[in-house]
Amino acid sequence: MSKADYSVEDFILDPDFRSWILQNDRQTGAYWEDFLGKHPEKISDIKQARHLLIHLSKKKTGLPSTAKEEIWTAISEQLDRQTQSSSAAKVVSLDSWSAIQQYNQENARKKQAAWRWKVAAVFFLLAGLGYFLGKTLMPEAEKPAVAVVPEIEVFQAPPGVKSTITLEDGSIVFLNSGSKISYTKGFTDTLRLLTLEGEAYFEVAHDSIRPFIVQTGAISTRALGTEFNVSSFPGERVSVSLVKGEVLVRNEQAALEQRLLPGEGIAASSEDKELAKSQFNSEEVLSWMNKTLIFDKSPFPIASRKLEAWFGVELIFQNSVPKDLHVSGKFIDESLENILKGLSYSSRFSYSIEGKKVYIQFNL
Amino acid sequence: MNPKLQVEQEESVYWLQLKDGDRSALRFFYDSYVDELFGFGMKLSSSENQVKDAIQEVFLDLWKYHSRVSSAVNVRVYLYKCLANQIFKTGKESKKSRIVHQDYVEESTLLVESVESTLINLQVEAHLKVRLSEAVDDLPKRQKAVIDCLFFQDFSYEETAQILNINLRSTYTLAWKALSNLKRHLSKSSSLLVLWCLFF
Repeated sequence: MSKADYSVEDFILDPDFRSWILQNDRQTGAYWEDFLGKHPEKISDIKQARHLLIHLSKKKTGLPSTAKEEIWTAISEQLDRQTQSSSAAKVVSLDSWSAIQQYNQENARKKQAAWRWKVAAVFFLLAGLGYFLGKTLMPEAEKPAVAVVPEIEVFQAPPGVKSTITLEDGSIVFLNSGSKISYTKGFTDTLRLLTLEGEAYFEVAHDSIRPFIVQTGAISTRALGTEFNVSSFPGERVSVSLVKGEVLVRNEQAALEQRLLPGEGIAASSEDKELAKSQFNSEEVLSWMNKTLIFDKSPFPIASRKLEAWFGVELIFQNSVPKDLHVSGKFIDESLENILKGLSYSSRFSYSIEGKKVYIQFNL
Repeated sequence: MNPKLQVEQEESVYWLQLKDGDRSALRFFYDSYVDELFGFGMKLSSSENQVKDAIQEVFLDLWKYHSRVSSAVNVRVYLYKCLANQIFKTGKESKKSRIVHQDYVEESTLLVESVESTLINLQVEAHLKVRLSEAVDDLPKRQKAVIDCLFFQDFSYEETAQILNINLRSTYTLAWKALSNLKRHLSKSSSLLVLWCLFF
């Protein structure tokens, strides 16, 4: 728009006009004087614009200092609470068995670490010697550039152990036995992306700027602030069950998308041509969080895989598993022995537990 | 040194400290900005409590994401934007909190601040000033916010658009509509003045 067509409003909105009127800027002043000479018909509009501009005042609203302190106190209290909760242990065991297993493994790790230290020390000495010799014998070689590698955080619940993890953004992940999540430390500015192998329940902290995405192969689940369960074991369909809020499930390979509402679930695989929603049985899906193992006409291979992860054992079949064998049952905080006993009647097998190995023989 | 530049330098030092997780830096930004943020917030909302809560959220979020904030950022624009987002997000305010409390300090500032201001001030008719400030108060919230950003906070069109999360075009349109409203008020009160003069 040419300035000759300016209305009163346009004049006021022109930063040059404002600096002429308010700061009496000489450079712009020359321009506007010239403009007045050329467009006398605009004089009354300019007069009105100036009038409005110099009368425009604003009420300054300040806070009383007591209110200022009040808000700050509220902020500090919140911050103190946050630092307390985030400094709590990263992995919280769900029950005594988990705790024992976890410490057992940590202990083994420590032993291994001590051994590693010894090896490292020897290597260090050798390397130091090598460096010394190299330095004296060879001309200085060019230093390779150090690439910045984003730190990847990995949490793994070993078989037989369930864990709770609080992420940096405040989201909580309940990790089922034999499952693993990994993500870039601190996430990124735009995304909270994590990869899941196995099963986990997510309580996502709200963050409108960075969506929370759980990647399971080609299937991804995208959430803003919700609670949902994702199960993705090798050889099984990825199953997403939404408890609260809203999530978007995508199959990247087939470019499919489906929005879930609370109570709805999806069992998907990357080869699917469509994503079909269904209602899920929340008691069954979320049972693992209540130490409850539910089999609802589950095929025997799936049930045995569940038992293996649940108790951290290996099931060894001494003869072939009957085809089309399904098992049902609900076991609340039961021992492996009791569950096997229960299943052995209906499925007609005998078993023996030897340490971490369970031998199963079907009665023919 | 240019005082504005000095402020910017001081701020960028504190901003880096904040990135490193220094809580006293958070306090610095709180102290420097809480007053103007509150004033700006009250343009966007009529509930004092909503604005206070929003300010609290802005600083909590700033702390939460302190390690990820970009180091090259205009702190003032950033904080205004966060506050506007926060207030628009909470949106519907409760009717109960609509009572406007009067315990905060109010004073009027005129736009004019140049050497010529004294001269111009002589021509400023007090009643017009009052009328216009009332008219500004009566503007729809978004128009009020645009006027506040552009004329009183010295933000550019780009910065204003960023803060209110709208595009440049809408920023200009909103400002235009607001001024058009004010213009109507001004001519109304001028004609009233003429009538008043005729009678007495």
